[in-house]
Amino acid sequence: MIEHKGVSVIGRAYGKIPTLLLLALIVFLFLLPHFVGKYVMYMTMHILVLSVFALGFNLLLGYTGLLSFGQAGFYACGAYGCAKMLLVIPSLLPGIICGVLFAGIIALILGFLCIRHTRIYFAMLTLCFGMMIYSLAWKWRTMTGGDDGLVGIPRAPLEIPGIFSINMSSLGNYYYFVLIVCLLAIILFYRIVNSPFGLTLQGIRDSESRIAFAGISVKNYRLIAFTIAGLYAGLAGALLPPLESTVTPPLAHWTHSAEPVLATLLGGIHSFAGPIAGAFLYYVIKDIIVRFTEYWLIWLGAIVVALVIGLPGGIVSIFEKRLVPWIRLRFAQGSRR
Amino acid sequence: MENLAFQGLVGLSLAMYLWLIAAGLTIVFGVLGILNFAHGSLFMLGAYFAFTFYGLFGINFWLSILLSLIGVALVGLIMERFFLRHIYHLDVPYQLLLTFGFILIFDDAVKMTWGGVFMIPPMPEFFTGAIPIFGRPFPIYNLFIIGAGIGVAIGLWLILERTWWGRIIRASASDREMAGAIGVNIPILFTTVFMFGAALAALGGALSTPVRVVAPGIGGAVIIQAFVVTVIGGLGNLKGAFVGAVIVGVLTAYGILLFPIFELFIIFVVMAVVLLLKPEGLFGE
Amino acid sequence: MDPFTVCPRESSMTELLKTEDLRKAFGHFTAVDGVNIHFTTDALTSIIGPNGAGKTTLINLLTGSLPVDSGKIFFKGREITKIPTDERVRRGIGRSFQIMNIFPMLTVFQNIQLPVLSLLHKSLKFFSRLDAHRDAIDEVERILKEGGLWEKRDMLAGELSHGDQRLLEMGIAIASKPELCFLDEPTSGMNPVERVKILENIRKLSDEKRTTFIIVEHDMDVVFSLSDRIVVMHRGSIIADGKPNEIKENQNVKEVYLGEELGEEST
Repeated sequence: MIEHKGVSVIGRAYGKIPTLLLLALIVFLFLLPHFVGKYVMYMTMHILVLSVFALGFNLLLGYTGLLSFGQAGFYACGAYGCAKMLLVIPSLLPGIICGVLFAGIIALILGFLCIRHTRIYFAMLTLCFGMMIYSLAWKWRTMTGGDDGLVGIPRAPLEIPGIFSINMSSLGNYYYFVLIVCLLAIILFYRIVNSPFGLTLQGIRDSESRIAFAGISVKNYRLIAFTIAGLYAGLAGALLPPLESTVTPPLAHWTHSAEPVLATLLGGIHSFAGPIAGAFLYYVIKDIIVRFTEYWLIWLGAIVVALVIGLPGGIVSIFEKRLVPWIRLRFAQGSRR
Repeated sequence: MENLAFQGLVGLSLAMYLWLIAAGLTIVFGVLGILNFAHGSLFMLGAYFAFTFYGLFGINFWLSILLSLIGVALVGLIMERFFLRHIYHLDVPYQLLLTFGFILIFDDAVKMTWGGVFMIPPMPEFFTGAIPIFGRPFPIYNLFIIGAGIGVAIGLWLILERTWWGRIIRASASDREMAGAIGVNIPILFTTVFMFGAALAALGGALSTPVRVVAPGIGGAVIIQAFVVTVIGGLGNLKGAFVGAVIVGVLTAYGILLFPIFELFIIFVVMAVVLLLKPEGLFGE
Repeated sequence: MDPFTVCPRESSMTELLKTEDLRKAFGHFTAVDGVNIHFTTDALTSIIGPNGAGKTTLINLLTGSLPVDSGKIFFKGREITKIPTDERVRRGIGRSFQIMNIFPMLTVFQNIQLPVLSLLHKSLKFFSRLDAHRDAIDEVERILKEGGLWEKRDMLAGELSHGDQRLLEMGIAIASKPELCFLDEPTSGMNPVERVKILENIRKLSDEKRTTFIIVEHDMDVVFSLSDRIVVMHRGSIIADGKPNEIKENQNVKEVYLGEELGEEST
C-alpha cells in the first residue's frame, strides 16, 4: 500500500473543486489568446500537453500502483507517428489519429511483457523499453531521421474533406485546437477513473491479493490501464509536431519520461487534478528558476527529494487539507449515490 | 574467426564495468531492499573524482582511485543516513522517485563543479600500448580491467563467504527481521552496505576514466545497462550480476561488430526474452 | 442460553469440494501432508488445530493463493488444481483473511462495491459512471445495512476500528456470493460484543443455505457453538473429523491439545 499522509482518496477529489471555479478557469483559457503574447500561449499549450501526458501516467501510478519510467517512449511513438503521417498527408486529424494509434499498439505489445511483473521489475522494464525506443529513434536513420530527427513538419489544416477546412498556421488557431483536444481528453479521463473500471484499478492498487478474491483477473486490467496510459502519452506526443515542426530522439529518452513523473509528484499522486496542477507547477517552477540560474535541475531534484520525504501527497494535499472543510460546508458533495 | 574471438575479449572488458556497477546495485537491493536509481550517478562521481585527482592534480593513479572510492563512499553515507533512511517504510515508487531526485541533483552539481563539457582523461603510462591477441593489438588497459573485474568478483565472494561482515550481510539479505532480532545493528549495517555499494560503483567509474569520456549524464546511460544486467541476472543475486554483465558486455561487442545500427537494441531484446522465459532472471528466485 | 442452536438441515446435500492427497512443503517443512478432505453443503465446518498445523496453508492451496506440490482439488466435480484464484472465485469459492486484507484507501462503500460489480460482470466498464449502476448500489446498500456498517459507508476503510474492519473483511468475502466460503479466524482480535455480531452474521447467512462456510478458528467457544462438523489438523494431516461431541471425546485430539484447554480464548 502506498503510504499517504492525510491525502484524500481519488474518488473524493470531485466536489472539492467547485464547479464554478472550473468553469471560470476554462473560460479564462479560451480567452487567453486575446490578451497574451505568443510566449504565454506557447507555454500554456505545453502545460496542456504535459497535463494529458501526466494524467495517463498517473492512471498507472496513482490509480493502479504501477510506476512507469518509460512513458516517453509512447510519447515519442505518438510524435513520430503523427510526424510521418503529416509528411505524407498534410492533414491534422489523420496525423493525430495515426500518432495515437501507433502509440497504443506499441503500448499494448510492450505492456504484455511488462505487466506480468512485480512493481520493481515493472519500473525497470518500462525504463528499459522506453530507452529501447529511444535507441531505435536514434539509430534508425532511414525511418526516423536519426539524431537529426524529422524536420519540416507542416502545421497542417484541420479538415474533413468536403466539409470544412480550418487553417492552423496562426498560433492562436492551433492553440484552440490543442485546448479543445486536451479538455476532451481530460473529461474522458474523468469518466474512465470514475467508472467501475477505475474503481477496480484502485482495488488492484490497494490489495492485489484481495482483488483476486473479488474475481478480478489482475493482469488484464493492468494491461488495459497500461494501454490507456500509452494512448494518452501518444496523444500528448502527437500534438507536438505541428507545434514544433520537428521531432527528435530525446523525446523518447528517460529524462523526458521523468516529466510526467515530476508533474504528478508535484501536484499530487492521489488526486484527479494532481497531474494537471503539477504540470502547471512544473513549467512555472522551471520558468522561474531558469531566470536566475542555468542549473535548474538541481533545484528540481531538491524539490523532488523534499516532496518525497516531507509531502508525498504533493501540492494538492495541502490544498485539500486546509480548504476541504470550508468547501464541504459551501457546496454539495459530488454525486456518488 | 579471430575477429570474433577478439571482439569477445573486447566485450569481456566492457562487461567488467557493467559488473562493477551491477554488483553494487544488486547488493544494495539485496540487503536494503532499495533499488538505487542514482547508482549510475555514483559511477559518474567516481569517474569525476578519479579524473580530478590524477588527471588534474597529477596524483598517482592508484591513489586517485582510492581517494575517489572514499569520496563517493562519503557521498553514499550522506545519501543513506540523511535521506534514504526516511523512506524505507514507503513503497517502491517513492524510493525510485527519491533516488531519481538525486540523479537530477548530481547531474547539475557535476555541471556546476566541473563544467558541462566532456573531458578526456589521460591514460596512465604503465598501461599505454597494446599487446597482440588473436592477431590484433589489444589494449593493455582492457586486460587490466578484465583482471580487475575478476579480482573484484573473487574479492566479493571471499568477503561474503569468509568474513564476519559478509555473513551478516547474507543473513540480513535473506531475513532482515531475524537479523535484527539476533542483535545485528540494522541501521549501521544498512549504512555500511550502501557505502560499499557506492564504492563499487565509484570503482567502476574510476577505472573507466582512461578509456571513456567524463561528462555529465554518463550516469544515465550506465544505469540503464546496469538495470538490464540485473534483470537478466536476477535482482539481489551477485552471481547473476556477473553472468548478466558478461552476457550484455559480450553481446554489445558483437552487436557493434555485426549489427552496428542495432547493438543497443539487441541488449533489450535479450532482456525481453529472458523476461518472457524466466521473469526472475537467470539466477533469481 | 446458546444463541446459536444448531438447526437441523435438510437432508439433500451436494458435494462442493474434494481433495486428493494434497501436499505442500516449504523446503524441509511439510505444511500439508497428503490431505484428503471433502466439504458438502449441509454442514458448517470448522477446521481447528494447533499453530503450525497447516490450516492456513490448506486454505491457501484450496483458494489458489499457493500452488500445490502434488495432489488434486475438485470443485463441484471439476478439477481446479491449476486454476488461478480469480477463476476459482468466479466458480463460487470465497475467502476472508486472517491478516486484514481490505482496500484501505477506498471507502467502506467502495470496498463492497468492488466485488459486487465484479459479480455483475461490470468491472470492465470504463465509460459508464459508477453511480449509474443502481443494481450494484442497491446491493451494496443491502449488504452494508445487514452488516451494520451502513452509517460508516463513507469512511476510508483504513480508518475503521479493528472490529469494523473485521466486519468489512467478511462483507467483502460474502459480497461475491460464494457457494463455499473460507473464513480464516474471523473473530481474531475482537471484543465479545463484536464477536457476537459477526457470529450472528455467519449463522444467518449459513441458515439461508446459499453459502457453505468453512471456518478456521482458535476460539473453541465459537467452534463448538457454531459448527455442524469439526475437522482437526495436526502437523499437516487430518487427525479427526466429525460432529462436535465426537471430537470432544476423541482421544487423539485431547493428546494434541495437551496443555491447551478446549475452550481457550484466542488472542
